Amino acid sequence: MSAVIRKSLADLRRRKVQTAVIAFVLFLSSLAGILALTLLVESDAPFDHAFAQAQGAHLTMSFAGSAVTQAKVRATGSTAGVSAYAGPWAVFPWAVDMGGGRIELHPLAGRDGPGGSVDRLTMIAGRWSQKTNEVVISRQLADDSGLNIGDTVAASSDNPLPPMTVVGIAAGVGDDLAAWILPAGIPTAATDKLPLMYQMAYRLTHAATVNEVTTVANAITASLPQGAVMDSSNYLDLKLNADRTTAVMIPFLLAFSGFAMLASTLIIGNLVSGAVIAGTRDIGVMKSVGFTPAQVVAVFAGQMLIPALVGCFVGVPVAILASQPFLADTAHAFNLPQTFGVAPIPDALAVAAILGVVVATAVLASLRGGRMSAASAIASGSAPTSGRGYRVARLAAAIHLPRPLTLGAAEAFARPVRSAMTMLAIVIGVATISFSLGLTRSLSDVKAGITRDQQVQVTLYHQGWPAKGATTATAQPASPGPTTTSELSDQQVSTLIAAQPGTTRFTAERQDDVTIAGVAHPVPITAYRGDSSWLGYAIISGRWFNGVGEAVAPTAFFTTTGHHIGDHLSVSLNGQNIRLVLVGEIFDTQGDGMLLRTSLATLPGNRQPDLYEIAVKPGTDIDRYAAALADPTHGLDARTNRENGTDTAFLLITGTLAGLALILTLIALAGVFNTVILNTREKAREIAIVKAVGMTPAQVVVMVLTSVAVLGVIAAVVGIPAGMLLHRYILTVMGQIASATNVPNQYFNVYDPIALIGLAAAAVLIAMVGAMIPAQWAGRSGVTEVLQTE
Amino acid sequence: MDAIVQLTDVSKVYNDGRQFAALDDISIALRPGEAAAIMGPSGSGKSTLLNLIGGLDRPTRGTVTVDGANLGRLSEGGLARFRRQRVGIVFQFFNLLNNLTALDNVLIPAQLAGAHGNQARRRAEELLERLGVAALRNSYPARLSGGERQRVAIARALINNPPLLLADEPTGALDTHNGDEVMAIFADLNRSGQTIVLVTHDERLARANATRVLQLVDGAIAVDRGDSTLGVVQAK
Repeated sequence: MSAVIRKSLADLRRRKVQTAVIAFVLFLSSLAGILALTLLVESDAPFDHAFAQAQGAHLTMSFAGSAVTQAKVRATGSTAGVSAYAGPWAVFPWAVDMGGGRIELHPLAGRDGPGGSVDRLTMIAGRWSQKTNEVVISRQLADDSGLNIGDTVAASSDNPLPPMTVVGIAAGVGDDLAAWILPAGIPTAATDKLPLMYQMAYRLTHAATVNEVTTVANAITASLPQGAVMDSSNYLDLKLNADRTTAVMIPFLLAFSGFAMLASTLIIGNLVSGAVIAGTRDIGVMKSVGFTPAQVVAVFAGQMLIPALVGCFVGVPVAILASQPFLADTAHAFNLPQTFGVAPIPDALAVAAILGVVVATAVLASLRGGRMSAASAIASGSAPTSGRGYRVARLAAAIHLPRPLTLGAAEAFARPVRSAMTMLAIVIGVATISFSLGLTRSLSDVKAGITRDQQVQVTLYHQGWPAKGATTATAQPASPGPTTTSELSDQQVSTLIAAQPGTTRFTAERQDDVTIAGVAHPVPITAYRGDSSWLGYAIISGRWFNGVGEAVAPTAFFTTTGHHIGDHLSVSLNGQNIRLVLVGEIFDTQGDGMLLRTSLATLPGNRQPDLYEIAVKPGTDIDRYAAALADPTHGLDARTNRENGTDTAFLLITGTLAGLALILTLIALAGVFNTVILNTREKAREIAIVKAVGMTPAQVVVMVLTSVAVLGVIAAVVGIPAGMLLHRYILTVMGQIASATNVPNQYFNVYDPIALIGLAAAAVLIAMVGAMIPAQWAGRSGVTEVLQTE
Repeated sequence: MDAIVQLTDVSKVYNDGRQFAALDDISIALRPGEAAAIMGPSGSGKSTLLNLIGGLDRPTRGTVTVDGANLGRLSEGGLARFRRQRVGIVFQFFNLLNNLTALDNVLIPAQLAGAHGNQARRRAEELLERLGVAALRNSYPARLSGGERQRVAIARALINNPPLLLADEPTGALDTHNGDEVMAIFADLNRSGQTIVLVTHDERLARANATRVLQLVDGAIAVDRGDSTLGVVQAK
């Protein structure tokens, strides 16, 4: 074993605390770095992996059973551009009693098994159906309904399906089917109210772009009778939706990774420079027995590198494992099967970068020691530490505060560079906490703005079969699906809602598509009757419409069309021109942001509403309220305004935020701990002196804590505004990534005075908690041993 | 008259791989107003004895009572308060805080005791004046000579009017001239009623200034010479 390695190992054994701190800091920084990196690299993996594993369908189409036979639908599998297909699966509306008298319609498909050449299902639990009264439900239905294996599900009384036992839970890639039974179990006697449809899943030869998929869909549509195609969806839209949540995380994941690396660098720098100062005499001795300057540097680099390797060795697998729940949550949020995500090459590069930083910092910090002559190193290493921070000490002495406080305050500036580096580590910690708190609060506001569940608790769909899990009017399928003939007029429905106990207010609305010159696709326009300003769309700029001809739109509409608030534009509805004036930019993430909202009176003709958004009185049982309004026989389907993946996505983001903020806080704590260890060891003589003349152990603790509390206060002054600025920037970027939307000012204003005081307290707390253990060690340290060794 | 320092059957054993008795079952009583010099060769236990009396260390066995306080019953905080109020300690290497001025160094024990600012400052300035270093009150230790530093250290030891002044080789780091001056200060203090226990290896200074001389050899008192009426209880 070489002298360098032997000496490095001996120093590691001698400096156990320092070694442990390096290993811990590197564990945390590799944990944060690899965690962030895995999430970054694997951010789209849940969908891609699941899609590949399931031989996911590039194109899924639904056909009306009343317009086309199953054989003709099957024949579409030979359409040019289709490389493989599965189906057709007969799909029947399953009216499920969700409890509390609430009936929901869910699409139930007849399928022989979970496998196949396209759109394979992953069994999450249980097994596939073996009898016609056994059902396999989707994970989303299981989540939404609370149904589990072994439960018996009764269909509503007017539904021909028998009671069925849940025998399995399955997930498909972007599958919108709620449940599966054996094909023989699907009723053949469909009615207008309970229509039969078929679904096909296609793999295409070329499916890289929406156009390529649309071309095949158009060919299939053209090969069938008019009205046969009810709906189609492509995997690119699903992928976009699945990737969106992780995509919005990228900006803050990058920020966190950078922070973790910077904080670690600061701490390593402090550690090495402290070790060099403490080991100055050692350097002299090493050089006097023949160590070259390079070997001296190598000894110090080795002292850092060995525990750093240990830290990374533990941190990397922990980070990979820790990232799996996040990836699993992403998969779950979008009803995808879970896969194990790991990015070996980026991870290896990240570890190499982290260790490179350690070596570079160690070499730079120990160069001075390496260059020092043997005699001067021994001399300066043997002399008592010289006084530092004279001016600050004098100023502090003049302050009329207990002496331990003023001595501690002066100590904060005794080693300005070390204090600055420690303070930066605390700044990073408190900035991270400030940022995380702000973003969590803002995201909570954003979530409330998206779901609008504070304003609208129940949505009543009139005449139609709403999309599965739909929560709002515009979430309805583009094609309305099989409709029933309502026996109720708009007036009757309105009367029904108004008479329903618990109703506070409601607004009727309908959606149409308009064409706009210069815009390739039809633009949905939602028109409201009466006052709709209460519906909860946050205003980014301008105001909500309040007159005929006025309209509001999301940011993307303005960005895409180049219009501004105050602009007039013409839109065409079924060939009729409508003049609109844009009066407000709203926070509205539905669709791709290309939509308009206006008053019903703006639309020509006597257009009837088909949807009612209802606010109920506080304390009302929303499920019971919705169940009371729902009446499938009259085409009324009531949905409560609950999340459909939104909460999971927000939990995922806030969970990631909290996890990374915790790691960076721990790094800051380790930085403070390390600095106080170095300081108290270097100041052992001074501490012994003040103890000898009467400073109690508690006063020593107060003195040491004060020295870092000062840094905590300064860190709060710097770190909180930094975190707030970062919050503003990242939230803006996230808004653009997620929905190409600006963010209303109110969502930025989440730092109230109590939060700010709490954040400042957190900064001081990080400093004091990090210093507590070494402060107590200093308080308990002996006097005679130190003073008699001079 | 009651003893101001009473050591009864005190032993101090260090155990760093092998056991070593720095003090071996000694008993001493010192009366108020005495100037006791503890002498002996290196390793005889002089500093250990002073550390026990000053509450800087605890005995392995036996009891140490100083100014009525049984040090064995005091917590670490209690010992610190004892050092702050009952004793003043002067070290061979002065042990001043380098980043504080002479005046601020002197003030530290008073400030730790929570003394009133102006009152303590007046007292500190009086002590510096009395010890002949008032002009250096705003100087940092690095700018002072050894003798000047030791005078500042003595002022610091006296700031809280302790009944007992302890000095560990107070002239050990000084030249003869400065050493004589410092010893003269101690003699002067003793004449004004200050009880002093000092460790020294300089027999000349001890004879000239001490009212009582205790000679330690291998952790035991070999000689107790002086006019103490309490005398030596036991020399093993």
